[in-house]
Amino acid sequence: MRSREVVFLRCPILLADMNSFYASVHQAMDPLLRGKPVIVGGDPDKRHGIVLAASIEAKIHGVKTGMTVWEAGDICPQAVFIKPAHRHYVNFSSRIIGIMKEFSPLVEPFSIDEAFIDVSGCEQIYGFSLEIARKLKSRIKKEAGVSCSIGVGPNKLLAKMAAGMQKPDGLTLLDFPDVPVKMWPLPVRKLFGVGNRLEKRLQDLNIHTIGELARYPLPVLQKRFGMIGHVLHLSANGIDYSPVSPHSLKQVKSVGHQITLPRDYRGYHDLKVVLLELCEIVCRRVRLGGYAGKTVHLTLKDAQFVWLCRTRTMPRPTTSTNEVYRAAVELLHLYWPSWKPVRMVGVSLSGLVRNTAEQMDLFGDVEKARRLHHACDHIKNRFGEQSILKAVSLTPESILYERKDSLRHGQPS
Amino acid sequence: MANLRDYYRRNFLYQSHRLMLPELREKVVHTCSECGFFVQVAGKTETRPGCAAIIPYYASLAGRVPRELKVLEVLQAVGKNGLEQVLAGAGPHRQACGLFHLKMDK
Repeated sequence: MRSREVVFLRCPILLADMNSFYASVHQAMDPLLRGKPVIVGGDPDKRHGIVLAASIEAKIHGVKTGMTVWEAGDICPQAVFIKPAHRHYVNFSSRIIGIMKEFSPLVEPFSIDEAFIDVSGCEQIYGFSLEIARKLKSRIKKEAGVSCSIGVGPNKLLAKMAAGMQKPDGLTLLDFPDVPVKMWPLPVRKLFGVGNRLEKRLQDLNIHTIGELARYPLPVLQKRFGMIGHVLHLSANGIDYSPVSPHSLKQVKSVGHQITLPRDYRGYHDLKVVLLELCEIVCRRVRLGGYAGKTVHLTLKDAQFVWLCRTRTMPRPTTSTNEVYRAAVELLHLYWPSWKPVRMVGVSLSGLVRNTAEQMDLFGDVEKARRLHHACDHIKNRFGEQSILKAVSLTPESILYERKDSLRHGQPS
Repeated sequence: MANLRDYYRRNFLYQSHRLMLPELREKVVHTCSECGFFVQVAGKTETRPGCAAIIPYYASLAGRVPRELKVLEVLQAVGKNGLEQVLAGAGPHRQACGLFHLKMDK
């Protein structure tokens, strides 16, 4: 067997990363936008005013993801600003994953615009990994109209690092012998799994590049970071044993929802309306998945972007909106003073178990609530999410009513 | 996490960094046969799987999607080209598409 083929056989993992995904989707749907700088950003009036994605043409002008919309407008006045339409992004993403699944069943979506694919054993059908990567790129471009960068490697880590090395529309192979040359000179922050905080802690140890991390004594890393120290050492040397697991998405650990409020809410009365609606959304998702949750998390962010997260574990797993709401309100009263303004609220439910059995009570209240939720879920399944709402959703503090209003006028929420 | 072996075996490095919209997760996890719009289209000699989301009456959730539709009903609703789209858009093991709507009675 030729050495080139050995390299390809050793590198069966691909990571496809869509370029400027949200902006590319709009360009694919509207030919008039192609070749123009397109910026997908939130509505500044609703305080969601940051750039979510910028097309390649906008990036040339210096627009970056995460900057405010008005900053982007100053840098690139000729840009076309578009509100996000998540329905379309999900649609495109599922189509792209469908294309990937035609090459191999081992596809693990990593985010809305990234997915790993393991093509081991597909050489006889589609060719070697690099050839499959080329075919995949051309099919995604042809069928979805979106360009992508593909990284090819012997494991998920190197495939992920490779995909980030050549953008846009790149195809990079990163094998073990390439690690010292291509990966080690990069800043340590570029290593997958290293975030802001970890970077600072590594800099305290005088580790600034991936190479320095790779050569750092393992016992010192282990003593400082525990098991993560060992993982960092392996990652810096290009070693990763994680499998491409298509079923990993089936495991749900928590279900949550959070929202940035259209204005700062003050006082418990207004906040309770939002909390009830969030609990309703979360519990419905939990019921749809066939789970029951035990631990309620409440997340709040104030006007200075300082956030607080508190949890409460209930005596038994539940799917009841009222029980989760009660726990969330208790947390609110305990940890958040009523005068303090709130910019963002989030509720999530964790400690999920399969909802196979339920503890009944003596007077039938649990059964009554369960039947009520079941009936409401049936109506929502049949006529849509906005078909039946709690009466508080008609008050001005409601977030759901506002969404319904915007939907009624044909605007994406 | 107990040890390094479990850390990798359980895909922890990627699970803890994954960002997934619930809507996308639903579409990735399920197949066409678990969709509320999945119907059997019964013709004169054969019955084939189809997608009722192509038919405006069912797509707007105005009517309950039955388990089986007669081919004449589909022809009346969307015509011949529409029938082709209905039949082309579904397969029991196909990955759920953007129109996926989880079936009520699983």
